[in-house]
Amino acid sequence: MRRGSGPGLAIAAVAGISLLVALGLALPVYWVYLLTTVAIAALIARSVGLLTNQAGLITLCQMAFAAIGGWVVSWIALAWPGAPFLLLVLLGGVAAASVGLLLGLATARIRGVELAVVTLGFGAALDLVLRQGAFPGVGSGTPVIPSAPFDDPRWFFALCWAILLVLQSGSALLGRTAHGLGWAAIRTSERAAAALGMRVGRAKASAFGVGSLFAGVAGGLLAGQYGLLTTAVFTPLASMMHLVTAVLCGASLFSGAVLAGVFSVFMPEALRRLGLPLDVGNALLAIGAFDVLRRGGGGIAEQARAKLQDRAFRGARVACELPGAGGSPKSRDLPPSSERGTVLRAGYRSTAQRDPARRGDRHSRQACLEISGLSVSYGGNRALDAVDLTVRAGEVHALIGSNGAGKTTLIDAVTGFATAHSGIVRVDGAEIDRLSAQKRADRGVRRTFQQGRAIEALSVGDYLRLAVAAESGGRAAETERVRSVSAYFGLPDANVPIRLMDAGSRRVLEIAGALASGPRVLLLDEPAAGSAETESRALAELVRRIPAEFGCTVLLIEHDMGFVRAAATRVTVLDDGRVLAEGAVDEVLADPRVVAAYLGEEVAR
Amino acid sequence: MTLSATGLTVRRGGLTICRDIDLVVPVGEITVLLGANGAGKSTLLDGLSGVLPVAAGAIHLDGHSLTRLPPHRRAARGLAYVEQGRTVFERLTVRQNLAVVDRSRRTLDRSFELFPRLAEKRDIRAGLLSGGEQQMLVIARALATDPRVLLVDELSLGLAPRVVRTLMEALVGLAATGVGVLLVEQYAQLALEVGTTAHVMRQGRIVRSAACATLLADRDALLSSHYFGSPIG
Amino acid sequence: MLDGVISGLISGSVYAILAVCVVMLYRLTGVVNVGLAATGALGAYACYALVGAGMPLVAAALIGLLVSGSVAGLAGLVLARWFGQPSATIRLVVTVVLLVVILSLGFRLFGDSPRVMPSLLPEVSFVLAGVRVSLATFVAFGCAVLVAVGLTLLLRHTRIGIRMEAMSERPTTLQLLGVNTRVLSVVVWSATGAIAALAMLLIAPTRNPTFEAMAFLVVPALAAALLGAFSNVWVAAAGGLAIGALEGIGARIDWLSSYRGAIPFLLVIIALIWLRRREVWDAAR
Repeated sequence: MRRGSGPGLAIAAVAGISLLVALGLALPVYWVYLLTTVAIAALIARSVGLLTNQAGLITLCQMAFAAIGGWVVSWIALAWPGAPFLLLVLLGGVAAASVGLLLGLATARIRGVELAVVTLGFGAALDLVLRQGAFPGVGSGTPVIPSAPFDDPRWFFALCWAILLVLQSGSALLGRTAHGLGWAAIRTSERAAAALGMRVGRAKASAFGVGSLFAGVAGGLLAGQYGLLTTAVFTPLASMMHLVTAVLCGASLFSGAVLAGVFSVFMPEALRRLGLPLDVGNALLAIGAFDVLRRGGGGIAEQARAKLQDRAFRGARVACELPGAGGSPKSRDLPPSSERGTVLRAGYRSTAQRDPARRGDRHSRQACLEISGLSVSYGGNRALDAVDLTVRAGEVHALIGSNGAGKTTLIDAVTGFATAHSGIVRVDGAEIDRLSAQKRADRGVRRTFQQGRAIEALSVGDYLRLAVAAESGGRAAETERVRSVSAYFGLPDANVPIRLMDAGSRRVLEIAGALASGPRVLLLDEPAAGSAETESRALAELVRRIPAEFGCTVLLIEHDMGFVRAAATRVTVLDDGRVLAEGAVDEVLADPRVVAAYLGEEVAR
Repeated sequence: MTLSATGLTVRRGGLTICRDIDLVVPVGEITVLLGANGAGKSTLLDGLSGVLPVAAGAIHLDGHSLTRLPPHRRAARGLAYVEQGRTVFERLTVRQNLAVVDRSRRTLDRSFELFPRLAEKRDIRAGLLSGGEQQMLVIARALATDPRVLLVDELSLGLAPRVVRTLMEALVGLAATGVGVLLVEQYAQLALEVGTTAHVMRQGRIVRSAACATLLADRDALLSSHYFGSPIG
Repeated sequence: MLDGVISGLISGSVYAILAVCVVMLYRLTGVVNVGLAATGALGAYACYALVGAGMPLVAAALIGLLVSGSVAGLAGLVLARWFGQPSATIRLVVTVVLLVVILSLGFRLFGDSPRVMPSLLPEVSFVLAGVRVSLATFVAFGCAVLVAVGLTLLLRHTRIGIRMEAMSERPTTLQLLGVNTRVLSVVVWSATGAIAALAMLLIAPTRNPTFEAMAFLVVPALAAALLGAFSNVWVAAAGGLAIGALEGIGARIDWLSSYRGAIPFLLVIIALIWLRRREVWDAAR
């Protein structure tokens, strides 16, 4: 479970370890042997779970990494009889991890089905190579014999489970760092991860590295378990079976991995005792996995955890409670507030009405974001055509225009997501248009997306920590900023899973995350899309106050003119990739050319 | 003989975009649906046509319920939908685009009669047509299904006003043959000139329904309240 | 060199046929079918079982194609029914599940030992440019060309083909025009399944493979399809032939011959890394 259940977790850990010790001492050797295999299979399941369930990278080659570990262990054991077995296993793991890291780095720009096919090919190729020669020691009939005391099955059992627990704890700790949280981010969307300042390529490579470390260690342990390894254990089909089992059991979690280990050991055992053919087990696991995929709610362990979470957060507030949105706090058993109560008539108050002083000083501010001559083409289609736009420090500047006018393209180009653009983008006077999206995020250029991209697998607190991680302003400052944005947007508690939040609240969380990193300029792409009027109004008020509260400049795309009037001081109108008008909100919205652009009248251009 | 929606609620990506919509599209006339970007117009059409499932409410065409039918069965019942963004099959020629629905001579002739420009380009790939020609093709293709009711989303998007007029005239002619048209527009002027009744959407609801002529006369009020969200008072 | 290429031509043609099927299925329905060769193997084995039971070869082969076509069609129905929304990666995992199920089924029905497969064709060969070429090689190459050209013509000139092209571009729009896309994708699945069975019947006599080895013939085909980015039929077909040729040449080089199966794939991966070097982002915004 997540934070907040610390004592429970400790009790469970102590109970689990005691049970293992008891089983290891009490059971007959044959059962101890089976339970040892469970630990090894759980390691492999965990390695698949880390890559596929956590980071969203489909891997069809985990047994190839295990084979590398097993080969290294067999080879060293043959060359150096009596070597400490733990060292051998470690070396096997490191060897597999290095190969995994290399594969991850090489395939950084390959994704989705292509990556899956590449892993399949890697596994198949390695399998072919291995088949040409037997594992070291097989030819001469020299088995790997673990050094004492691990030549005793009960000690070997203890070793395997200890390694599983240590590696799991290590990966869990890593998973709590920004880097580990990033695995969930790249699964959701590489763009969203990059917009948070994450190095996507590095996160993928490290996922492969850590995943293959697990698999390599498991392969080394298998060498100790079997003595002599055969290639039949490490075929691509075996890799596929581990993927299927990991998907079925939900191996992003430790419990799921252990369950996968239990399935892959005791299913064949049970079938054998029933006198049934073993491949029936594969078919049963596959059908189970099919059902899991069909439902789309995660594997067995993941579903169980989701149910526990549902129960734990029943009645808790899981939606953002925007100050000023009114109404009682939303709790899970009530319909979303957008469906309750009366929707008020448009009741925005414009910025100009509220602080008339703001209009006077607009020439005294200096530029925060300067765009000059920005052009972007997509496949011969000019989306932006020599756009000049200056956003002054400390203002909320709106960008409006009809569909296809190029608003989102402009945000993409400024934040580093447009593939090719010409023109200059400056932030605080420094040119940023040669930098990668991640570097721009580091420089304090943050954005949100039109389609919400909050990371479902994380909790609110984890998401915010991930969002601020790239910014190294010191722990205390970070914590303080997270605290202040949480209060500002009325976010739910830090341990609330994002999964439970409604789509509107997730969008607010994304804004909060971007703001928590302490950006210089924040680009919001339709923050109020789909929210009901009361929330939309409250959000507009919050956006209006962002520069004053957080010292951050805002560029805002929004279609709801009420929102624009309430939040922004100045506005730029884009029409067909060009700037049609720019100026104070009221003046621009009264401009006949802008009115014409919105009504589609024939005007001389 | 109409398309009607009652209490229609449509969700997209977990968000309720259209709430409790009541709408009637009579045959033989053009009904106009206005609203700013993001008001929920396209989502409403997606719900009517079956692209998105209906979360609540009912849809009927000529007395038959369409609420639970998949899109292709709704099309078979006489509902055609011209989606936003000129959805031609770009790799297919003009003629092939029409043949997807119907390969008969009659369909080709009727399409080319309606839009003579298409006849000249019948063997050109649709991806190479101009925006206006693509929109003509999409309308002709929808008509090849012999619809009772035609839903059109953002006819004018990215097109020159002159081209839009040509298309609008085609729709007027179509309505005269007894087809019902629901025309969704972000740009109000032209649509109001050809339509009979208009509905205005804001934040997922229909907030005003009136005769097109009335709205046209009342242009400024329409603008301020529904497009530009001007302050109260 | 040349005789190496020729000796790899049967395999290459079969990889090309499978690769064309992979590409077609992905383009038209958005599914990368890892279980394609396994589906074909089911039909091929059914054919040999029937021949063993005394049925004439041609009739047995036709029934084999029918078996594969039906199984693939069923799989297509399942994919269309339950996995219309999820991403292409999820669908790929579903086809991995499919592969596992078909393998289990194959083991149950046909066992997992290699068996001798009679050739569909007489053992005739010709000498061309100093190299001996078997009839089977000619036929396999001819089938590969026929499948690639035939499917391309079908897509361009028949009504169902035009609809399939339309489906690959805009499935929703096609549905709105009154076409039942689910039926259409089942047809595509069945067709690729039957063609895969044909490919298996062509290659089986040269290798006498186990059911599992047959099912994993999809790997070089996937590699070839990958070269064509799962969208270009011609690159995929050429890639399949090239992989076969490389294997054939590799077999003639002593130090390489044991590892020849692995070489093409490494080359494909390297080519792919090169081709994708500028692809910074995942799916469009």
